Amino acid sequence: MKQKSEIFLLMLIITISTAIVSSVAFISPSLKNDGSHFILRNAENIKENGIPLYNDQLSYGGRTNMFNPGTPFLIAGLLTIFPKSVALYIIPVLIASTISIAIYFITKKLTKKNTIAFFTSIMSISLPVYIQNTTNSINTIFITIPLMFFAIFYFINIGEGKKNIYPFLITIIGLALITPHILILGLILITYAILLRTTNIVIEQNQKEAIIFTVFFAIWSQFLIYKNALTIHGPAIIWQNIPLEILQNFFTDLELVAIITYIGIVPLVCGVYALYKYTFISRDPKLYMIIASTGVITALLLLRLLPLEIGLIYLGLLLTICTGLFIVKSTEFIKETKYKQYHKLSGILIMSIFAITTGSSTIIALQEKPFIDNTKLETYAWIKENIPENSTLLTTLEEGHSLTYYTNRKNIIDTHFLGIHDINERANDIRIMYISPSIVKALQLLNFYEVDFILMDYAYQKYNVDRLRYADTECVVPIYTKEEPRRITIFEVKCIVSSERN
Amino acid sequence: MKKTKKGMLKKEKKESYFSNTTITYHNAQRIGLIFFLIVGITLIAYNTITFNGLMQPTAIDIVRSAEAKTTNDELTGKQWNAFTARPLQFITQLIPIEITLVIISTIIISIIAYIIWQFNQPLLFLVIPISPFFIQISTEITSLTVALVMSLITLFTLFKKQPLIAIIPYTITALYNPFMTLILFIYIAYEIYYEKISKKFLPAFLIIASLSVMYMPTTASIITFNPTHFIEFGEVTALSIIVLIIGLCGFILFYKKEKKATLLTISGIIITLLNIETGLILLTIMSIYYTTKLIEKLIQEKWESPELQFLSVCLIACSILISSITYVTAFTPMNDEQKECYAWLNNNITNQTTIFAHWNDGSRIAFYTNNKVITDNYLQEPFNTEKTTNIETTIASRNKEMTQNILTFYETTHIFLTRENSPTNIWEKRNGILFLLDTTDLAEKEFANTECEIWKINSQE
Repeated sequence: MKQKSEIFLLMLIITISTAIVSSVAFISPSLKNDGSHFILRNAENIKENGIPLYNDQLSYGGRTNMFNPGTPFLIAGLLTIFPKSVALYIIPVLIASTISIAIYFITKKLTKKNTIAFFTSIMSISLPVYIQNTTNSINTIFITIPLMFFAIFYFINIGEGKKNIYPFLITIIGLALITPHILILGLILITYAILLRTTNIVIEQNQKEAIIFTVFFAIWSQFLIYKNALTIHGPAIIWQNIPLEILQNFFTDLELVAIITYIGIVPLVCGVYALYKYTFISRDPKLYMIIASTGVITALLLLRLLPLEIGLIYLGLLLTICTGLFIVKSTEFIKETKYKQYHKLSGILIMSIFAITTGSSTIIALQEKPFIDNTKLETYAWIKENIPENSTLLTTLEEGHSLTYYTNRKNIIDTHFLGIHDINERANDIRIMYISPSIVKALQLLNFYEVDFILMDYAYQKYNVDRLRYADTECVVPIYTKEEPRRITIFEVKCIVSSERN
Repeated sequence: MKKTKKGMLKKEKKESYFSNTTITYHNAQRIGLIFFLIVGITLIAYNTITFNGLMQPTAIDIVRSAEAKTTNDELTGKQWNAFTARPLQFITQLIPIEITLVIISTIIISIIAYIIWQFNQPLLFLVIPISPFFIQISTEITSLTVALVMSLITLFTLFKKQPLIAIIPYTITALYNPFMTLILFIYIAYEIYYEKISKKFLPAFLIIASLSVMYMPTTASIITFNPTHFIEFGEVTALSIIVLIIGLCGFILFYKKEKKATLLTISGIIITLLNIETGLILLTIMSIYYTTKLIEKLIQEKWESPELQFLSVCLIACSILISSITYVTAFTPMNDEQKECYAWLNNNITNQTTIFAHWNDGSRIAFYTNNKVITDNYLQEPFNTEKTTNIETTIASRNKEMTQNILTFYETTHIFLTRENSPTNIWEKRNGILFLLDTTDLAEKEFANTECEIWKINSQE
């Protein structure tokens, strides 16, 4: 295939994908997930003051934040250049869809077949879990995943000459600024080196050098950003100070049906089969990079060090690459049978099965309702108008960032756990504040966290309660109620029993 | 491969990024030494100008021990190490303590510089001065520093095959620190086993080590491992975690070649389990040694991509340097409100009452206010662990009875709490002892500002 038509086809894939996903995003009233609001608040602060919110006065009632500043700076830059709708709903999708380019080139490198590489690139941007996490979202994932796969691609090619060193350096510097996932890349590279050593394959000198540099750079760069978190949490930082209640739920959804829904049956079956076959047969170092990546991601998922959905994105994309290898293998197999004239159809057949089995999941992922819907936005608007500034609101941790973004009021928990002391105690206290039947117990905690108002929305569903059991007394009174389309209530805390908790 | 004018293929020579350098080995030694001395002198000068700003609160204790007339510390109830306190008390009769400390620091730096010079490792001259360890050793004079320097001299004389001379620094080490002596003895036993040192020296080294261990503090017999030492890497023990990681990489690469260094590292790990302060300081030195070896290897090897080689070396150097900067910035001088707290204590409580305070505040209270405290952070004090545990428990507790018992046991009359040394959840959320003080009649508040609170304990009927 000529290079021009290759580029044209890739651009076509990206354009179609961006157009479809962006059109869905435009219909949505807000960004889909809570984490996006954290990025957006930081980006707007950068736009106004030049720096991210490292000293956040609203999160947890005031705290010091630790995070990679790359994404907020990128979004701030986009907001400066483009209108908000383009900066938030089109460009991130465009960046996310560049994953198809990375997957195309990696598969092409491994299989040397352009057509199969195109198949896998289409599969990659259709993965339900990837669509779900990048549509209408400016969470770091939209840029982290493409950068990781570009880094893998340039690393595989690094032995071919100097031209690949600089792009590789740029990708890893970008990764270091954007995400701590650069540490995963370091781990993958170390595993790759160990794998080659155990199979007596000599590692290329350039790759060896790149591994040394990447590992040191990854550790050092993240150490600089997260040093304070390290001094607070110690080695437990690898669990990111995630409260136990969330950590325990990491694997409750990890069922085969869920995995099939997230990444599709075709990449799962074909990818795992190809991986199994090539792990024990192939002597190709390039393939070992994919094997190492899959091994590391699977291990991290099993050790609960990587959130399920993010882990499945990596796994899904790696298995998609492996599906490309499966197509090559199956084509070769068909060539040896009496149906050899149909060998070219194997790829089309697999793509068709992929489209049939995963299509519905992809469409569902595209249409997934945002966490912040119009009803919630109305509530937030009411809070902003009617609740005094400097007030603290009790929310679930899933609502923390959106509350601070839309209302400019303090929360007592959100999904940024690093640097927070006694996070488990806090998470448990929040649960008690929502479900406790005892007004005294609840008030002690409400006073301890200096809560002025209680937002009951997602809490009804999360804690499976139909009302705030201690409300309707003189101390905790409802001040805002909405019954349709779902019940939302805001209570005001009027009493002080003690500034301490038991 | 390149084609020459004659059309012959000529193999491209892969050069190290650093191969173009014209610096000779001897010049490198000289340049390194100058750099080493400049950093050393700057540190000493900075430390002197800031009134020992880089060694608080240990500095206070050293000054107090030098100004005392005995080795008993009446205010904290501890015993100073006689081998540190007595010579200091003698010298300070002739020279002011500030100048004495500068002289000691200069001697330490000179000894280290001499040892490095003799080792012919120019790179050590560049790596050591930018490490947090160097800042600590050149600015913080304790009995541990003396023991460490003497151990280095012992090792140096042993490398130079002078076991007879080595007995002198070895004996001085034994007087100051039994753990350091144990490490040295393990090394000496190894050398004797491989016949690098004559067997006839074994009894002498063994007797000195045994005598030293006999006088080991009672708390040393149990493992005093505390995870917070590792959490506070780079701030308290001058062991930066990044240097440790790089050192670990160096160890993995060189443990087979560098058998003596490996032995010292393993000894350091074992001693760390027995006595964390001594063990960690040895591990710090070994980490820096391995880091230097790693940098040396990176520089000497011919890389396919010199850009990555240059960046890797710069990266390691920067990471060590930034750890040092973090170490220095971790020390902040007292602000006005903190000074006000000690001034209030000094002006209002002058009858040598015992004050309940965090051990890190203990040294300052004794020095600035001349009042007794339960303990300070003098690590060699035998019953310090029990005292610090009691203080820690009391600060965190909301059990009135237990708090009252501990306060009565130590005959305390006042409670002194600071924002700096109280856990965040206790100070900011008024939890633990502050909850008790707020809600019970345990004590009356006498003074408070944003940095401290002073409470007078109500006498029990």
